[in-house]
Amino acid sequence: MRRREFLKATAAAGVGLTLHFGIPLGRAARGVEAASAFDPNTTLTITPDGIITVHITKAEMGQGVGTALSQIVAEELEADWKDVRIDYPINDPKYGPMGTGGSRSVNTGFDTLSRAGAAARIMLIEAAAKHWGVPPDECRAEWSIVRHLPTGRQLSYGAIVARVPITATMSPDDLKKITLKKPGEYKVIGHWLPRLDIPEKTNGRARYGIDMFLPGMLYAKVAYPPTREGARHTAVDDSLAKRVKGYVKTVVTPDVVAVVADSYEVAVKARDALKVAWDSGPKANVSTASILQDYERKAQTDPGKPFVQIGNMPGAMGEAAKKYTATYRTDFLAHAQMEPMNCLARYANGEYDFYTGTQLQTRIAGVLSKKLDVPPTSIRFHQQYLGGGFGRRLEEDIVLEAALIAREAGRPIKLIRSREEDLRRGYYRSLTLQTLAAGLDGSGRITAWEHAVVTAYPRARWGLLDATGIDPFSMNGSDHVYDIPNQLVRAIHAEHGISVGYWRSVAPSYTFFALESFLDELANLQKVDPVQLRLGMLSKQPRLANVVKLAADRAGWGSPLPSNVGRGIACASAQEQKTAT
Amino acid sequence: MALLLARQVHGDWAVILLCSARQARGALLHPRDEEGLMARLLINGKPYTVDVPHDTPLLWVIRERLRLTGTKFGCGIAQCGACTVHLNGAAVRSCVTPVSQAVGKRVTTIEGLHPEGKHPVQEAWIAEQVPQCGYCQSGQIMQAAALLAKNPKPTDTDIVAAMNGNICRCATYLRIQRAIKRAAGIEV
Repeated sequence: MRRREFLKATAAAGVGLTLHFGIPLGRAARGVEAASAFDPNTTLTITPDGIITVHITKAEMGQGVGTALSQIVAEELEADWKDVRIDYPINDPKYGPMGTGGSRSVNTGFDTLSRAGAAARIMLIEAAAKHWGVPPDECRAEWSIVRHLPTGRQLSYGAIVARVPITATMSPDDLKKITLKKPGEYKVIGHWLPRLDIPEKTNGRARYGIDMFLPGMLYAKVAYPPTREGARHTAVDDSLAKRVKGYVKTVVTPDVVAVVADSYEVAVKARDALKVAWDSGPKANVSTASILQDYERKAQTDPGKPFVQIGNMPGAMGEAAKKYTATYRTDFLAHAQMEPMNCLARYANGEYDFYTGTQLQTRIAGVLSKKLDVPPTSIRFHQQYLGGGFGRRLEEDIVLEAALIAREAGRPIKLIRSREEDLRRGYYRSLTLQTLAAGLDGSGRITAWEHAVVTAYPRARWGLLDATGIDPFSMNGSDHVYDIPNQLVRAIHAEHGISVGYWRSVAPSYTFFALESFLDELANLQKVDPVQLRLGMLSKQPRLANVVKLAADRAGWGSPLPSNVGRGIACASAQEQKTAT
Repeated sequence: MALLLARQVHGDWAVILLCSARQARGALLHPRDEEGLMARLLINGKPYTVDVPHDTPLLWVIRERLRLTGTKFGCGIAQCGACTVHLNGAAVRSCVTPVSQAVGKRVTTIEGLHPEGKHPVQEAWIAEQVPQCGYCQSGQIMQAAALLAKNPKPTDTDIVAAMNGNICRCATYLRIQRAIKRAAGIEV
């Protein structure tokens, strides 16, 4: 069995316990086999001072993920919460694919982290038992202390790692066999705890990418073309820029034109003094009108690809007593995170260090590896807090620019976009056009449902569309849970040349807007209560039905309202969650 | 030759250490020229001397020169409030405040609001668990502290009026309002 298939803890006494934890990692784990015993997937470190540091491989962008994931580990570890700290390690294949998005960190990490915590607890108990020369089953762990029940002797976790050399292995099967706690036994999970990242966010000590410095660093500003995709510089004249006091260098590569200077303000001044001629590229004439024209044509003529197919929609629509249709449009949206995109980059000895916050270390390292012609292992992200993510930091653009400039400048450079640049260089939620049609039988029940979504796909831009040709993250939510016997959801892919990206909540922000609005229109036309209309289609979804009832109840549904005040209800079942507003 | 000059800037007496007589003339005759000057600043009770053009935004001096990075860059045009600091106790947007305007005044940043980060507003921010991503919160806290210094028992309307220029993309506004009331000792 290969090393990475074991859970392994090895530590010399006094150094501290580093728990090494192996899970099948797939392709991203290449190279792990050759690594030393200290390199498998690492979840936590306990040092002799008793501090338990949980290594958070997810991006902290305001969602409190570090606290949530630490709670999961601490629960099974039987850790005293006051001993728990968190850090955000540098990317490494040993962590598996690193990425944060889709509200999935807790859902997907829960079992793995629970078992890591439990395994560490078992190892600590065994180490203490060995120290005392007693059977492990006479010992119990609680509040970061192992007790020998018959004698009352006790050792703190810190004391154990200080005194007892720990070497332990656990196979994936053994890991699976660990009995985890039942929710009724939880001491940490489900209990209100102050977030670990909040104190330093009130005193100025929290460090975001923009707050980082390196010795000898300079500041860079990029000259961006007035248009986006396909634009290219054709001539660069930096004679005036060179006269700006503090100017250091002009960097011109096929992908970037930039000025490096000794301060941010000087870099702005020198960049503004550049004269750059641009070829504005093939997308310069794209406009909202031209995009909509294309969308409307596609909605009429392109059958698209079936994202949801239940029963026989065309047949049921043909037999319907009444038919309704509606069209909804949503616009481009920028992420507009508070911290403008920035990156501090250092290039030395063929390796890159990036001090920034990123949501997608593994993919970005892969992209940069190709563009910069270095192995992904030569790309290190020193993860910082994200001053908002919302999907914007899934993209590599700022990191790639910083890398190219740092390589040419021969000095570390800090690249900070202005707010205006940040908004102009966004990866926007795509404009969408959605048409919905519903067929109702004589009793007013919805028997046929058709939903066409016309949109561009971020996944296509990333070159990651699979054989279905559908970007599921661009369609999510149109696969709602309402009980309608005949449904067809058509995914119609339309690229338009505007850079699109994943945007907070992702597709549900527009799919549910359209379908819930349509349901309200149907309720109005049919003169039925919007809550009852929804509940009538949720008999197989008791949890979501309860959410709707509770929300309606709390909103005083049906009670009189003052004039010029309205009340409405909508619910959503996206991302395996139930919500109502 | 260095010269010490005193002049009135927005009603406060400012002491400016100038590098040369030529620059002294420049500063007097062309207060917005781009010559370098040695600006003596008092930030969080500590004196600093920086060599920057006097139209340099105070924000970049604080953040990038002096590395007091708790003060954030958000928009550069006084539209978001992330860069808020105190000048003689009043909340200002440091991104549009030339460093020359800070000369001779007390500058307070989030790092200096309280030596241990235990200003009532900071404690209320923790108690109400206000920050999410946290990027705007230094500015929010500085704005709130300036409000309470002037108006110890603000009404909801006062709070909204004072805090309206501080944007939070995570939308922590309800908690901000609760935290301000908690700091003011108002029943929430």
